[in-house]
This record gives sequence, C-alpha cells and structure tokens, in this order.
Amino acid sequence: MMFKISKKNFQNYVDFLIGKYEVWGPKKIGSDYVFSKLNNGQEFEDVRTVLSPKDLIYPPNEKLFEDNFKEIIVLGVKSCDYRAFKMLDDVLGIDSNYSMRRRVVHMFNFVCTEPCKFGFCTTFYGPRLEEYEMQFTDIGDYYLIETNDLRFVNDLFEKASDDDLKIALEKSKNVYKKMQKLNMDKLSEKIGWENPLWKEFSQRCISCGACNFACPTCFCFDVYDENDRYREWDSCILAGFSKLAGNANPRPTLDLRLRQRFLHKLKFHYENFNYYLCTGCGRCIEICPVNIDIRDVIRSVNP
Amino acid sequence: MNPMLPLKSKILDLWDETDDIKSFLIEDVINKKPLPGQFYELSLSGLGEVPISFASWEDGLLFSIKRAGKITEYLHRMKKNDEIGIRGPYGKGFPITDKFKVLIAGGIGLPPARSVIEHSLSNSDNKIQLLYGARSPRDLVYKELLNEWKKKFDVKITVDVADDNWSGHVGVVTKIFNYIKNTDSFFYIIGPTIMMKFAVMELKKMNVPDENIFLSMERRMKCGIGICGHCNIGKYYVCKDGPVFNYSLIKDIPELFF
Repeated sequence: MMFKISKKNFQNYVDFLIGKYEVWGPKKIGSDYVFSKLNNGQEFEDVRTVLSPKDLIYPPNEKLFEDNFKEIIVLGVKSCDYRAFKMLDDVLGIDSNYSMRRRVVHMFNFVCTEPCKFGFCTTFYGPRLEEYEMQFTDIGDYYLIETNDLRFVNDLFEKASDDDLKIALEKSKNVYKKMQKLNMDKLSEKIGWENPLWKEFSQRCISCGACNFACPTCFCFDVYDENDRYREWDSCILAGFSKLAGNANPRPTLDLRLRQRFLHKLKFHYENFNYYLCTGCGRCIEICPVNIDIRDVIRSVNP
Repeated sequence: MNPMLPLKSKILDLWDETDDIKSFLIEDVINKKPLPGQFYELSLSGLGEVPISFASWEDGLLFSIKRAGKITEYLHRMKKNDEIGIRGPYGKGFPITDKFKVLIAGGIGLPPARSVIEHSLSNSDNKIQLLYGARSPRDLVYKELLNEWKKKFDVKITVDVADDNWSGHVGVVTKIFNYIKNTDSFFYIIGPTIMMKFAVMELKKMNVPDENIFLSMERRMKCGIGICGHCNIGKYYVCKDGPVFNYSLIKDIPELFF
C-alpha cells in the first residue's frame, strides 16, 4: 500500500506514535547524530547516524536468559542498517534474546536520496528496500510511505499517486548516479588468504576495534560470568579474540586478525550464505582513526 | 528457551587421573546418547563455561579434564555432589564406520578417543588400533583401562620423557607410526595442534589419502552453537561443523595449525 504525508503532519504522526510506543530516532548529541529516544515529533531529523541501530536489537552488553523486551519504533533507519538485520537473522536468529527483540522492535526505513560520504550501498542493495515494515521517501513537501502493515497507518496519511512513487524512485536513483559502485564480480572466489594489504594495514591499525562496533553486520560476542551470565560484543581485531588456554593463538599477529575480519566479510560468510557480510554503509571507513578502508580490499582484488 | 541456557546437573563422582587431569562423572540430565567425538559445554554458575569432549557415556557423562585455564582450575576444585550446568551434545563427531580405525591420541586427546573405542567395542567392533603419546608415564590417563584394551586390540604407548620404571617407547607419537597395521584405515587424530600437524605429515608420507584422515580441532569457543564467531577455521565453525573434520575439507586453510 502507498500513502503520503505532508512534512508538517509528519511531526504530528511522530507524536501519535510516541503516544502509543517508545519511539527512537536520530538525535544530535554533541557533534554527532545517534539513535536516541524521541520526546516529540519536532526532535526527529532524517539524518544518517554515526552508529547503526544494531544495539537496539543486539545490545553491546546484555544479561543472558532474560525475557523482558519492550516494543519500540525506530525512525530514520537506513537501508544499509535494515539489510544488516536480515543478515544477522541468519546467524543470531536462533538466539532467543535477539529474536524476541527482533519481533518487538519496529524499524522504519527512510530512503536515502543523497549519497553519504563513505557509503557504497549501491555496490550491494542500494537505498530502497523491497521488504520493509514502513518505508518513507522524502519527495519534497511530502514523505511517500510504502507499507503492508496497517498497524502504523494513521488518519494523517493521504492517498499517494503513481507520480509520487515515480518521484521517490527518481530520488533514490540520485544515489546510484553519484555513488561509486565497486566491482564484486566473483570476489569471494578471487580473494586470497594472502594479500599485501594485511601487513600494510597492520602497520597502522591500533587494534581499537571501532570497525567492529560501528559495523551493523558484525555479530561476534564474548560470554562471561559476573554473578550472572552476560554477553558482550567482541572484536576479531583484539589479540585475545581467539586465544586458547595456555596462550596458544591461531592468530597471534595483527595482520592475521585483520585478514580474519576482511575474509569473514568477503569470503567465509559468502561461502556459507551466498551474500557478502557487508551492506556498504561505510561506517567502518568513517570511524577508523587510521584510514583502513574495506573498499581498498575489494579494489585490490577487482580493480 | 534460550539455546545457551545450561541444564542443572551434578557431579556424581570425581577422581584424579594424573597430577593435572581429573575425571568427572556427571549426571546426564539431557539423556541423549552422544556420538563419539561430540562435546558439551560445562557450566559453573557465576564463573563461566568451558567446552569439553566427553570420554564415556553409560552411568553418566564422563569428562576427563586437564587443568589448563581459569574455568578448568575452578572445576578441579569441585567436590562430589556439587552442582554443575551442562548443555550439548554439540558438533559433529567421528564417522561411524566398519573400516579399520587407527586412533592417534596425544595427551588429553585420549578421552575423546575413548568415546570412539567404547562405541566400537559396544558394537562388537574391535577393528581398532590405538597409538597414544603422553609427556611422561605420570601423565598417562586411564592406566587400568589401557591394560584391558590391550587384550582386545593393539595399543601402543609412547612417552616424551621416560622415568626409571618405564620400559616402553620413548619419543613423540609419530615415532610409533611404524606399528600402524593397515594404511587403508581411517585415521582419527586428537591432540595438541603441533602433534596433529606432524601426525598428518607422517601419514601423508605413508600415502594415506586426505579423505581417510579425521582431526578433532580445538579453538576458542563461547556459544557452542555457531553464533558467537570465535571458533572459525575459514568458513567452518569448530562447534557446529566440527570439532571433527575430514582433513580434505580444511587442509588448505593457512591457520589450520599454529
């Protein structure tokens, strides 16, 4: 189904949602936009955030074996982040904490109409989704709304025309026009274990793990006990990630750990699931303090 | 239910095997017969979990555990009737086959080999040979059982360092490969990574095909169910695709042995 809502009424719509649910969206905190709880419709801004909303479904640290999950709506989600959840479903879907939250956290996609600085989503799936709960596209004075879910439809919605959809499609095509598309041809087969980039990257990587934490598709976690049992996001870049009792370590050096990170995304996960564990969101590139760039890895194989 | 939630069980009995290896007989509250080579997550509430291959399954689950890290240290301090959590059995075990099986076990690799031996013997299959290497005579586990096994099939034992009472073989386990009866066997290798590396090299010199070699791999493991991302060897996860791998699947992976 297709609707549209004027920008003016959109704020009222957000207020309507806030009346019924806890609503989150991008909010400026300090110098960056991050997903935060919204208090009213005026606070909403359709801006790509520094971090994805991964933590709203898969928190950085959580107590295991809990079953108390609240229903929330997240506005301003981008297609790169939404796609990432589809990927995480294939791995974390058997986990009850993850799958329970996945059922009660509603992610509303806001289609990008301009490329972001580091993103390369057009290499994979682009800014529009084919599967969504609610999809909003800025078409000027209005948002076009695509949905098959009547739960979130409101009286403020107006009928949309095919022309409105045409404008929305044009707007998203703008991203394709301006963004460089990388060549992924048979990359998972062509990318080798050996690549001079691992050593090169390892000379400047500071093992901060920010790439893992900013990545919407990174799923690795550690489990530890502190009275109760917890899990916490882990980072394959850290030395302890694969260390065994007695300090034996299959990846004792940083170049081997960087190799693991890139091969997991561009080779191993593809071999298991037939897609790359990357949505081209560009967040790892943006956040890396020493300019390690996954696009360089892809280009080193397919110039 | 959360797949990582352990079931409450208790330690029915425990005893020393060596200076740093203890055996634990644990009530099998899961009550599912494990396949030889599979493992369980043993859980100490508030302390942590550790993946351990089972050694035997009859009056309970038997685990023989070497004191090697934080959790195994805690385990060694436990007493009879103490509570312990278990979940499993996990992973893929050794193939069940009519073929002759040569088991090559190093150190704490013998307990998982025992699961294969007992499975075979309980099916009146004694087409087995055991080559077992330990650091020293003091480090040998299951000493009485080894003597019983010797009556049923060929058992060869070697130690890295002998003592005054030792009259057997001395040297790493590959030193006794000349006793291998039949190179057209399945070879099941369980032990430290360096031992597995050299065992495979020797078997390749004997023209054993890759497909006949099976390795029980070890990696840092957290969840046991293929989601925490720690135990991968290339595209495989040791917890769900292993711990037992056919060598032909993993032989080209550079970080196989380390």
